[in-house]
Amino acid sequence: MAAKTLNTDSRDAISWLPYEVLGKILSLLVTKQAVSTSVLSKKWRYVFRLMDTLEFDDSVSLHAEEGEQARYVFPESFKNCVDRTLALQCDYPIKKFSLKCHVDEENECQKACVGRWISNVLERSVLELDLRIKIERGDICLPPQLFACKTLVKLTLGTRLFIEKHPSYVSLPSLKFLFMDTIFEYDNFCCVFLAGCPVLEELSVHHKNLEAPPHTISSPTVKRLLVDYDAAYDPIDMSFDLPNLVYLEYSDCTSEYYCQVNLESLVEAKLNLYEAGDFPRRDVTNLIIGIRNVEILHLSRDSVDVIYSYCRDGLPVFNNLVNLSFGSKNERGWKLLADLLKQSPKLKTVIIQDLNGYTDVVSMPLNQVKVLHIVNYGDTHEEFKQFKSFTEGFEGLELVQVGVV
Amino acid sequence: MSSNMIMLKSSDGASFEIEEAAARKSKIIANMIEVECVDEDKAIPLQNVTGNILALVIEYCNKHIVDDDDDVATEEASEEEEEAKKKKVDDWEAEFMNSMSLETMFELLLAANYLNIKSLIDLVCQTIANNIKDKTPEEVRKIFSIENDFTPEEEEEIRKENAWAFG
Repeated sequence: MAAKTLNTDSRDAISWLPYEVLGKILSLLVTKQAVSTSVLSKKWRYVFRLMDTLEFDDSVSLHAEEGEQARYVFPESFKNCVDRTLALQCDYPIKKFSLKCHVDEENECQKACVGRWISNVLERSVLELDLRIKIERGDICLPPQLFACKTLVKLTLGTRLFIEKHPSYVSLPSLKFLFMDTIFEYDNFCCVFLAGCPVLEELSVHHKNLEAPPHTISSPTVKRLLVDYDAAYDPIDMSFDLPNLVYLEYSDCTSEYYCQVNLESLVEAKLNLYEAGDFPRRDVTNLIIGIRNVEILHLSRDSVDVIYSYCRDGLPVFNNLVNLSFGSKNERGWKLLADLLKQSPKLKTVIIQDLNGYTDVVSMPLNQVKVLHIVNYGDTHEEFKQFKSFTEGFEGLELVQVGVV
Repeated sequence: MSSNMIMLKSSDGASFEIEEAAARKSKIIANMIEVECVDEDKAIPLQNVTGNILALVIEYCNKHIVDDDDDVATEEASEEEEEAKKKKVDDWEAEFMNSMSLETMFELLLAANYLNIKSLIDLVCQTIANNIKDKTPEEVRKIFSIENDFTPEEEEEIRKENAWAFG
């Protein structure tokens, strides 16, 4: 925006805005800048305490110290700033508190600070907490109130946190959104946690480069679930018990077997199953049976290969499947597509990434698909031949689109 | 949609006619209508708002009431249409805010605060925040003609107190 300046008649008009309005304006700035308004003039010295959105982010300086990143911990000036701001705010209600910093694993004082800050905002009707606390190893003692906060609506917990002493009782009656980023699980912490969230709607569980991801995800209320596990440390047996889940996004290389899969209401699923490390999968049949009610299904190239190889009892019938998005990297993939076409009586739209590796060795069964999209299509003579032989069974085709999704 | 008209009177005696639906954007006026303290042939006096600012408030309310009408008419609007409509409103708001001086902006904010028009408060606050964003304290002082009444020693002390924020 072009810099406007005030004419001298309205000198300092901003300083005379009502406090609640100033608080609103400051809450729209990054916290660091909002605190720096303390130096503008005497009247502004403590105005920054009126913010209701606090985002203390020390990760910028964390990147600045690249060479010593592993040793980097939050500086004394950061601690003083958070302490002072919280103290000045007294018990004003607060909307959002976000804390991103790197804690020294050997410094008990730093760990205690973090616990104290979280306790402070929990007592002030906080709605949203975003805690990304990095610690190399060891436990950060999260205050027990965190697991019994009545006002909390949105919670992000990360990153690489070891929650060793979690409370056996969790009660978060307002929590709707939960994002767990690489939380080390003891005693099936995830289960205990979810049992205490009666209105949870959206759950995101990421687990990167750390052993022990949550292996049972169970909730009667969750509608959207995003799971992303990349740790090939130890194979686990997964369970999903989410009778009201509508949307599932699931990327995973560690699960060996699926014990219980209850996803009765599922409408859309995006699967990215792949193999990594020395842990081959045993069987994905239960997972595939569990998602059989979907209307929209996206399968990555890797998933297609995993399902072909490890859906040992064969595919179920997909009675509701209307829209299938599919990537194949070899002949096995095309064979799975042929099976899926047979098992999906209502399928209307098929989106395939490309026809790479398709040969007439695998012929597609007769089907009633109406719309076929081929995302990457080079229109070469070879591809046209592939296309003709691929579509032989597509008797009901009304529309073919190439190069578009 | 009822097209009841309501009269508003500014502090400097100017009268404005406004549709009831638009006037209801103000929680204060909506409350007055609810408790029926609005006399049909008498204007509502707004002692804290001057005529030129009230004209802006009314322009804003009228614009947004029209948008609400559109919503009803095209309930089945596709996502792209929704997006296009949102962009139209955003463009209008940007132009609306861009056309006024900072003085006017503050007066408009005070009026919106007094009349309790939440979306207008949000819009003006965001515009003012955008003016401050990424500016040094010196630049902020200059933009808003804020006089630095600290001694150099006092200022140094505050910079020390909140050292992280100035790093």
